Amino acid sequence: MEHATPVAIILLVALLAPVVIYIRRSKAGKEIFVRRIAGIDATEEAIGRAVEQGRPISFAFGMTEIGPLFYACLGVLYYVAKRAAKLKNKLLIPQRSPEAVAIVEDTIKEAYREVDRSENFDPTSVRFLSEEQFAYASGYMGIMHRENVGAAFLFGHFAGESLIMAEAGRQVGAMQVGASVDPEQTCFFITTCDYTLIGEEIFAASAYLSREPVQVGSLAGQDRAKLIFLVLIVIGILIATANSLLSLDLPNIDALINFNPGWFNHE
Amino acid sequence: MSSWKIFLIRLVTFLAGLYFFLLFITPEPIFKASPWSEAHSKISYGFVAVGVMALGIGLINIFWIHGSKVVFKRSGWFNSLSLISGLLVMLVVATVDWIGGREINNFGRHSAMLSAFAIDIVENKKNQLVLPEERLRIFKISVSEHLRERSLAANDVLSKIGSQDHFKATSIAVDISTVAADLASQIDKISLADFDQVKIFAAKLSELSALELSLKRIEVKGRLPQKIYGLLYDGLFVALGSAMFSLLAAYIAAAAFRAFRIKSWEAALMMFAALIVMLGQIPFGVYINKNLPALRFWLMQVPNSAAFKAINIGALVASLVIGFRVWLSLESSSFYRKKEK
Repeated sequence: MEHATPVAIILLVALLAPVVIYIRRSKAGKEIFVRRIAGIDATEEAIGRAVEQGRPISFAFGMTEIGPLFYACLGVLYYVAKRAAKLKNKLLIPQRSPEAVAIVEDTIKEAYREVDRSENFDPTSVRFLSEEQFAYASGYMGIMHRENVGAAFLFGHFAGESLIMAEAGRQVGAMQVGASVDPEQTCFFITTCDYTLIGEEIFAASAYLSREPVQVGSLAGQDRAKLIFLVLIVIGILIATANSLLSLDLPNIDALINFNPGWFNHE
Repeated sequence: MSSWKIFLIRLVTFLAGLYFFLLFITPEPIFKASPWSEAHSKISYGFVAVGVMALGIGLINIFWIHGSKVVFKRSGWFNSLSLISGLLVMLVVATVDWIGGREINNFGRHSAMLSAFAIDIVENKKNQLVLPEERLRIFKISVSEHLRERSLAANDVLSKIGSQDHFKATSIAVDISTVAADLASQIDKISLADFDQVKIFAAKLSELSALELSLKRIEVKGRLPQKIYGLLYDGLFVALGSAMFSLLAAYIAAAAFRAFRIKSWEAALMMFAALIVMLGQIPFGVYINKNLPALRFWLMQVPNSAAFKAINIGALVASLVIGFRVWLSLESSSFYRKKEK
């Protein structure tokens, strides 16, 4: 179990402070600008195209376990489910994590209720396939081909199965939007999907689609919080340069963050 | 969702988050010195329980979706039937295999426990209610009784092993008898005066335990359910997983072809960088230009690594913020609505 150092606690507070401030501002009705992200704009287009063709929509979380990334994707799924419910289109959610099945089911149910389409909710739309990576990927491929999916959303954490899944969508001619925080897999999505969200754009997607004040405010706040990292990077570069050029022995950023007074010492 | 349910979810989420937040900010020495440290390991079992329950949800989901397909003979019902049959067969065979695993462990457990007891006698002399001499006496009686029936037990296991593995099993059974006879001849000689002697005796008991495990493993693996499990898991499941993985090779080639089409300035830059990385990676690259491996290394370590780190920092900050929002149930839109229908 990890325990924080004093500097890590200060850093935590410093990172969360702008988030709280911007959430309050956003709730107070202050307009916060969110730049356009083509991949998120394409969500609407993909759903519309699938509806026009009368083909179902699929939303896959990949290898995502329950955690912040899962909740970020859940926000997008909520939006997709609402649109699918409103346009009376079939929605399929192949699941890998059994823990997530109940949460996903509940979220979709709420989305259908939100647009007064509770009666159209299909409890079999959330399908647990397998916890094993390639068994899940083969199950997903099967669904894509059997159901002739028209729009596929691949959101979350992906590993070696990313390309297999994206290629399956491509084979059936589905419009695909891929989003992953794994840089190694993002390049596969770029080559195979129609639109790709890179890295943290996945966390912005829900705020962008819902325009909910809390989400938009926290998005603006986290952007400001990143400035702290920028400052730390610049300080780190200056220290490393000074140590190298002037033969100094200044402590680096890592030592600063791990600094421990006696009573905080790790055993 | 009714308001009390929402309240309950928010309360549990907040309390669970608070627990881990306090755990995170509590300095390690304070945490370890408090009774909380001991309670924490017990609380951690809760996660295992949640994981097991979640697996149940997954099974229910499979039976619900595919069972209804079979019952109402909907399209693709035959695939669903084969899935459920496979699941049930695997469930039965894996359970039998698990029972076999327990049998293996039980067979060598007694020797291992006696070995641990011997070590405990010499290492924890002071903190016991029973005197070390009395413990040693009990130990000697237990070992004598245990060794008396070990050779018989080994022969009993040996009689159940088929001809295919009989030679290997016989050699292990002979080893068991030799070690057991050796231990039986030494049991009366060990005393608390010589710690090393007791420890050597304990090590030999561990050796006996390992031999017993090997022999029992051969017997259990030769049983029909274990053979079926091996065939289904190693012969089918693992092989199918490998087949899926091998698909990647073909897909990567197709993806690379699409990626390297020069449609824009950025695509040209990527193509150029990829060419350097690929040529720098192969031995032939040195013959084209001796600086290619160094250039490849620089591309991977500097621009590529910087981009990866930037993506990771952004994702980590965003994860932290989402965790904070979920902990305090700040967002209502995604998971439950305020508006009731």
